[in-house]
Amino acid sequence: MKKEFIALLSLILLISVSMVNIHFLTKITTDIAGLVEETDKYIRTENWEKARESAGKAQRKWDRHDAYIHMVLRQTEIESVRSSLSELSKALISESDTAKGAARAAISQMKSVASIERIRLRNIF
Amino acid sequence: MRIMGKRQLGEMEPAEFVVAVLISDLAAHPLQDIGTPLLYGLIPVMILVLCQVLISGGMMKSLKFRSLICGKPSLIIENGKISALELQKNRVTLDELSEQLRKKDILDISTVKYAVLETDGSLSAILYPAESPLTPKHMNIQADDVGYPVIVINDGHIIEHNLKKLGFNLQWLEKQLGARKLKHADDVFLMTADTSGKVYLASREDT
Repeated sequence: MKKEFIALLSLILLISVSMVNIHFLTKITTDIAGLVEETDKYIRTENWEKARESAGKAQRKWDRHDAYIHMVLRQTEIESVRSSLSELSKALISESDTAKGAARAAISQMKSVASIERIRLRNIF
Repeated sequence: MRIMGKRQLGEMEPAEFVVAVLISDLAAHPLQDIGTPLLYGLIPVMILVLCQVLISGGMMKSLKFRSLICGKPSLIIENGKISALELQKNRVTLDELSEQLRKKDILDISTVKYAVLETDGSLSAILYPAESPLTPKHMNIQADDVGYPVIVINDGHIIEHNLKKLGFNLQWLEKQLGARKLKHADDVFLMTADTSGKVYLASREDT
């Protein structure tokens, strides 16, 4: 009975940790998506300085959680987020028209990463 | 496998076998694909093992739960009569039945009174009393009681807790070695003893 009790406790603990992980990952990706949305707004008003600052914040936030992200996300997902943030930075430096598209791509990438970990029927099946 | 309990592959219940196969597949995936985090394999494996422990605990406690998970044994031969219905239900052919019986050294199916297909897929057979192997009891012979032999020296190493379990000590062991003209435990490859004091010894020279 002791073995079963430990197994049940461990199972509850694992599920709780998974829930915390989902919440934490969603928070990080939502925050970054928020910063990129802010960047997008500045791009629309052609406030390039503020846009670069906001995109820089998003990049730094992503880099700060690099070790954690590598433990919980697949390499392909990490690479696609990295490349979309890098594309956005390049477009902002050159102040080109592609910046808007790059910002939209980064936002959708972040939202996709956040939705992967959520417990939904479409994610399960 | 140690957490799930000591079972051989052939002794596994269907649910245990499925869990074992799933675990091996889940564990292999992050190892094959370096882009997948190790946690993607470790967490599902841990969840499966924990669920398996809970299911096996439930099976130990409740007979109904056990029969739901493992099924029930099927009586393939009852009073010498082969049940075609049970064979069909379990998808066992007559050839397979004969094969299973032959593996049990039963060549004549008419000698079998009962044959049960166990939940792990193995076959148990009970012969008619007249066909059963002769035992000392049949002959009214008093058989000597034998103890359970345990290893006392394994490849030169003395296993003291086994020695203690038998109620012997190192002096007894030295005496036994001396009686066989051996000086040290290092000279012994294998030595077993039982509670009655019966000793089997294979020295390194013998091997």
